[in-house]
Amino acid sequence: MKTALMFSGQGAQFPGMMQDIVTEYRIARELFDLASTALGRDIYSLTMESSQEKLNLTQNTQPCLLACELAVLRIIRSIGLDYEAALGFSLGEWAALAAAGAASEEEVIKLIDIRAAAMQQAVPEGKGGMVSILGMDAEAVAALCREVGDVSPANYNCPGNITVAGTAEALGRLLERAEKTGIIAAKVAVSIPSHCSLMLPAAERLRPLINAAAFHSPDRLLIMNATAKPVVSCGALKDALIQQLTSPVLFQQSILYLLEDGYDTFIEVGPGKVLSGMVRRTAKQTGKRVRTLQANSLAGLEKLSSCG
Amino acid sequence: MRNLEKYKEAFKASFSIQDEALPALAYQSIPAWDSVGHMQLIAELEDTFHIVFDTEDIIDFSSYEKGKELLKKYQVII
Repeated sequence: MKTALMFSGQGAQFPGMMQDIVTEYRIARELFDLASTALGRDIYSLTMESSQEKLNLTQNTQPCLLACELAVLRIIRSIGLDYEAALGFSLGEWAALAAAGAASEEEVIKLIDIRAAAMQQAVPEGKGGMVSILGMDAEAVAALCREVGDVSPANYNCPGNITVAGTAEALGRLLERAEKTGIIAAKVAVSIPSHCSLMLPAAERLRPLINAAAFHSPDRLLIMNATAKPVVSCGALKDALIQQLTSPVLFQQSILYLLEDGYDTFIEVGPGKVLSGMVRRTAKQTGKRVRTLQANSLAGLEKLSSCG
Repeated sequence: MRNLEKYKEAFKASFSIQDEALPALAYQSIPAWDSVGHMQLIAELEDTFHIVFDTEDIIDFSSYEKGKELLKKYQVII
């Protein structure tokens, strides 16, 4: 059995997410205290007591979701659950850094807060966004993006499920075209167009901070969104993190890499089960059998303990 | 728990919705059932019934009632 931890990205958040875990485990609550001290605002209250609207703002979503994921990572380590690899979806990649021993909790919390602000400031509210397309392969989506212009593939989720990002005008044209041609496409409820060239200002703002960060070479397999391959050196890790802001999340390709490498157990860390579904669909296409588990509630953690 | 109850629970877990709203529920009829919510529901149902939906069925899964019909293909009778 080979196990990978995978950390959720933006979109999975909801007020009160994973509260049962944080209430039950002191080490989880202490992680929230660490995050609040590092960022100078109450991350616990923001996570547990905000409205959905407030939590959906990128500058709130990113630190809150990351805190939940790092809190669960502490518990996974404390119960002695072993894993050989880590990866994350977009923002989740930062939790994966900590899981692979490449960065400290405090370092990723501080950097994610700056990342969130930089991403939100890169494109004014309402000027960009993301659209999810179902039932089309990568070439067809790329061709559609070229035809529409100012939009590009942003997340390769799983077979037949690709998200694109771009300007609001371009996405409007894409949705209009989808309506006329029977393509299944729907807006994603995010306030920014992630993983496309519109994020260049954010990448440039983060570049010196990431380059100056005290990261280490990972002590476990760490698969990067930008390359869908493991990263070995600290320099390559930093390059991939900067590249991630403007290039697509190669999640499907990352799972294919792990399946090829013999991974058969995938534990989703973060609220929801969306990544588990993506893994199952990717595995189904290759004919491989996988087990997916979720560390998103006390019941889920109990199930993990019995596996560990 | 009977399949119908499990089916309802998957919707309620995904969208925090009450029983009485379920029969009329359709894709994008409430803010929570957006494209991300859709994949969350699909994953919840897959976990509940130990199945993996084909992509065309994910696309066709347009409402609470339509979902019952689609699940028959996976030998899940609601």
